Order: sequence, then structure tokens, then C-alpha cells
Amino acid sequence: MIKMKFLSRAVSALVSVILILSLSAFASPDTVSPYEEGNATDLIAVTKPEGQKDSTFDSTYIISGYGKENTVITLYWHNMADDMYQKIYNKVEYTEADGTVTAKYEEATVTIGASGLFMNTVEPAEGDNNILVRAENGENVQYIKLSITRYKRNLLGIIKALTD
Amino acid sequence: MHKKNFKEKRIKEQKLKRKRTEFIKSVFIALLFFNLVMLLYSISKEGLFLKEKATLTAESGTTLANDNSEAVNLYFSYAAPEYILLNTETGRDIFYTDTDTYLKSQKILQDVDRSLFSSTVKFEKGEDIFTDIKDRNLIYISYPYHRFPKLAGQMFENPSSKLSEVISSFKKLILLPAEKEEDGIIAYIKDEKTNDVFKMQTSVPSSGLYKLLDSVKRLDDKLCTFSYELNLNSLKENTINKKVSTYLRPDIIIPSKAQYLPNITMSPPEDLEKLKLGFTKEGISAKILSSFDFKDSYTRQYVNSDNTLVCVSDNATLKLSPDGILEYSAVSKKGGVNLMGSTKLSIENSYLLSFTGVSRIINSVMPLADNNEKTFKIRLTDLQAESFEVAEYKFMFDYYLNGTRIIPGLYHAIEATTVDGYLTSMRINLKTFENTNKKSAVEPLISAIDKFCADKKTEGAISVSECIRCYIPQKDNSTFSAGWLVK
Repeated sequence: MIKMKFLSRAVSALVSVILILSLSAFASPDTVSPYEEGNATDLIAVTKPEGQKDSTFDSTYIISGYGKENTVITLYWHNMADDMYQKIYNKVEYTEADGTVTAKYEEATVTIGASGLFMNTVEPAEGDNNILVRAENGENVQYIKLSITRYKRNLLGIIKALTD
Repeated sequence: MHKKNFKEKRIKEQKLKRKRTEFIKSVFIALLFFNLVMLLYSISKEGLFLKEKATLTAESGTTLANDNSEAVNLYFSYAAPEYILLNTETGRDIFYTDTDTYLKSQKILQDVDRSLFSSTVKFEKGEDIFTDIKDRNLIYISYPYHRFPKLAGQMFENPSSKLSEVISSFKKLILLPAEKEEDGIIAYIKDEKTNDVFKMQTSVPSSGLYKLLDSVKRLDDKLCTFSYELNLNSLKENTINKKVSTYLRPDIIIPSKAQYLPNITMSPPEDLEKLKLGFTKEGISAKILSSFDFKDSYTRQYVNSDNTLVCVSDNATLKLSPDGILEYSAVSKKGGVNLMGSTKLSIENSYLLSFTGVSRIINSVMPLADNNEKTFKIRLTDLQAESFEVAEYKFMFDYYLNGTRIIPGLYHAIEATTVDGYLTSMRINLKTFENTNKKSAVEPLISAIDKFCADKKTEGAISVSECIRCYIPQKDNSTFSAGWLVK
């Protein structure tokens, strides 16, 4: 009886370790060096921004495209301070059963499903936003660099956007 | 002497009397004059008010007599848009049926309808503005059902509307204000079958539309995106997914930010506990019976083994189950509910009479469900017309709470079939819906599209033609959370 209990505990512990290991294996890194090149070019294609560059006045911007099913896409923004790409976190609100609202920050990661399409929202800061799209499928990793400029909605911003 | 005195006295009295009469006449004339002065004064002062009234009449495009018509009111109430989208240089947002902006837009849309389905409307082929909205100031309207100009025209006493010559049906409409506020709103309509776009000049002044758009100009953000703006409507060079290519119809709208809606609960109406008492004063309202033309003397009522209340007459059967399913079926066409009244049916008024009759029945039955009238709505979501030469229609309605359609199961909330002005069958899923305290994020649209594609299990191109924000039942079938219905 004691042997059985020990065995079941050992099995559950082993399963937990395997699960944790597998999860960490799928998780994207928190930072990516701008010199990373990846080993694939055919996992995803970005449809917006067209030509990998765009400008906007809006506080949100949808990055979209298509790719191979089960490819995990994570977005990073370029931090000038340490010249590294850092994972983007988006604010998500949850309402509890008693009506209280709590905000959490979730990483901007999506997995391509059966449609083969993806959409991921970013909240660009005013000015230039250098964004890195990291696509991972098994051992293959693809990187796409995007540039999104957000202008202020004032006369100067409009002139800048027109001359861009 | 006495006689003379008497005569003089009489003359004096007569003179006095005449004087009095003259005085009264003078007072009366003075009063009339005073009245005239007051009238002239009020006309000169309130001239603006009268002018406004005149403008109002002109704004409506046609006579205001239609406003009082029960049929038109029922039509505007039940056959309303699913949502409107306001687009300006600085902002864009969707407004569902529960918002003030949606309600404010209805007067404009109703006036535009009257103008569009009139016999004087002029149109020409237009550019496909539907896939090129950009930063233009406009209002984009989406209807949940096919609008057949041949049928909708009947509502405005114009069955042979000019619009029906070029457009068989449409679900999307764009309205742009003219440059001058007093000039008519410009409408763009896209034919659902041919994708041809027609441009029309309506008689509705643009001032109302300018006011509505101004309210959105304060928005500093575009809160939603069309699929064509994400280039997801044509993956021409899809070299990656050779097995699956998913195409979104260009007018599919993708929210840019997460939306939060309260979860809702669904339950059978409380009044159904009185089902065993039948359609009586103490039981279920007998009004329901009379709205289906059941007459007391010819009706037999009983409760069967599964506690369903059954009413039978020579012509029809009405069943009401404890879970709120109300089913009506007529033995024959002419045994059904007469929706025409004393009006003679023709192909040119059959839709008007059928729609109005069905709407009246819904009006009389729905109080049984006891839903909150402020947040709860019923809308026509699908319409089947076999042919415009035959007066046969199938109307499908659904419930909306918090501006969001509710999908309770396989069927629409209400389905009604009419033939030659008679209601032959009707099924109403009577339910009470309530908001819970819990709000949750609407399921991401892409997840719903993924599920849709996974269910298709096909290799090759998959076309997504419609994405409708709706309440979907959870596992317990009584709680609903917001997600998407993808077609």
C-alpha cells in the first residue's frame, strides 16, 4: 500500500517536471539580440504593415499576416538603452464575480491556428517603434523587423506624416 | 304732457341702449385689434419656430404621415441595423444597438430609407468606397438580413422602387454628408450578389449627419479595422500555406482593442410555472391565444404528459412547453392566422402585411418573457423570399442584449412562415435573459475564425464571409459569454 502511494507520488512528480520542462521549451525568450538571424524564412509572412514599414496616429496597431499552423509568434520592441529587443506585454482587464476589475499584463504572443492567419495588437509609443516579430515552430525560428511610427495628432504630426 | 314725457324718456333709453351697444362693439373691435396685434407679434417673434417645423418636414424627404403608420414603426423597430460604424479623419468606432450614438442615428437612417425607396431617387454607378474608406467622414451601416428593395419599398408605399431595378439585395450602406449642410446625404449601396456599387443623392439634408459625425470626431483613435486594411482579404502570394488559404471578406471588421461585456443568464419565463392552469385569467395570458386567432368557443386546451400546454382548434395547434418553446402550426394555408385584416392582398403589399402581422404577434407574446425593455431587443436577422412573384416569406428574428445577438441554439429565437398573407407556422423560443455581475473579454476574433476553419476540415481555400459578435452558450447551457459567430 505504502509502495503504491510512493509510486503514484513519484509518477505525478515526474509528470510535473516534464510539463514544466516542455513549457519552458516553448516559451519565447524575454530579450532578443538585434543581431539574431534565425534559421527559417518560410514560417510566416506579414501582410500589415506592408513592406515592413508604416505610420499611424492611433494608439493601437494590428500586425497581421499568415503562416504555418502551430507557429508561435511573439512581438518585441527595441530598447535603445541596452540595444536589445524586449518582449511586449499588453494590458488585459479581468472582471471578478463581484464586479471588481483587475488589470494584468500578458505577453504579446499568439499561436497560429487552423486558419493560418494571425493578428497581434501593439500599442506604439509616439515616435519610431522598431518591432521584432519572432516566429517559432519546432526548431525553426524566423525573425522579421518592422518599423511603425506613431505621430501626434497635431499640425506638426500631420505634416510629418505627409512628408514621411 | 305725460305722453310727451314718456316719449322723451323712451328716446333717451334707446339712445342709452345704442350707446351701450356701441361701447360693447368698440370693446369687441378693440379686443379683436389687440388679438390681431398679438398674433402679428407672435408670428414675427416665433417665425423661427415655424421655419424649423418646415425644415423638419423637408428633412424627412417625404410626408411625415408615414411616421404615424404602425407598419413603418414596426419595420423600423424590428428590421433595424445590427450596428453602425462612424468613421472620421481622426476616429472610428462601432456602435451597437444599446448605444446612444446608434439611437441618434436612427432618425437619419429612417429618413434616408424613405428617400432611397422613393420613386424619385436618382442613382449612378459609383466607386467601391466599401473597400476604400480611409479617413473620410462617413457612416457605415450593417444590416443583419438581406434588404430586398422590391420588398422594403412596400413599407414606404412604393413597391416598384427604382432601386430594385439595379439592386437585388444589400446588407451594407454607406452615407456621406454633402459639402453643404443643406444638400442631400449621399448614399452608397453595394449589391450582395454582383458587388456593383451604386451612388445615390438622397433628399435628406446632411446637417444631421454632420452632427452625428462631430460626436465621433472627439475620438482620437480608430478602434476597429477592416480586413482589407490588414490585406487579409486576398492572399495572392500565399507561398507558405499551400494546404490552407483563408480569405476574409473585405468588410469583416476586426476590433483593435479587447471588448468587455457582461455575461448573461438564460431561463424559461417565470410565468410558465402557471402552465398547468392553461390560457386563463389565473394562468398564461389569454392574449396569446387571441393573437393566434384562437376563439374560446372553438378551442380545446389540455396539458400533455411532458407538461406541454396544447391548444387545438379545427384550423391550428398551439403548443407551449415548460422550457418556453411556443409552436404554432396551421392545418392548411387558409386555416392560419389572417395577417391581412380587411385589406385585399396583392404581390405589392404582401410583404408589408406579412411583416406587420408577424411583428404584431411578437409584440403580444413577448411580454410573457418579461425581459428588460431598455437593454433587450428583438431584430429581424434573416429573411427568405422564395420569389418576388409569390407571397411566401420566412422571417427569422433573434434576441439582442447589450447590443449583442444571442445564439440560444440551433434555431433562431423566432421563426415565422407566411403564405399569401396567412401565418402558417411560427416557433418562438421564449426566454428571460439577465446580465450577471461578471464581465469578460469578448473572445478574440481570430480564435473564432480558427475554430471555424478547423470545423471545415478542408484542404484549400476557405472563405470567411461574416463575423457576428454574439452571446454563445457555455457548457451549462444557461450562462452565455460574448464571442463570435463565423460564417
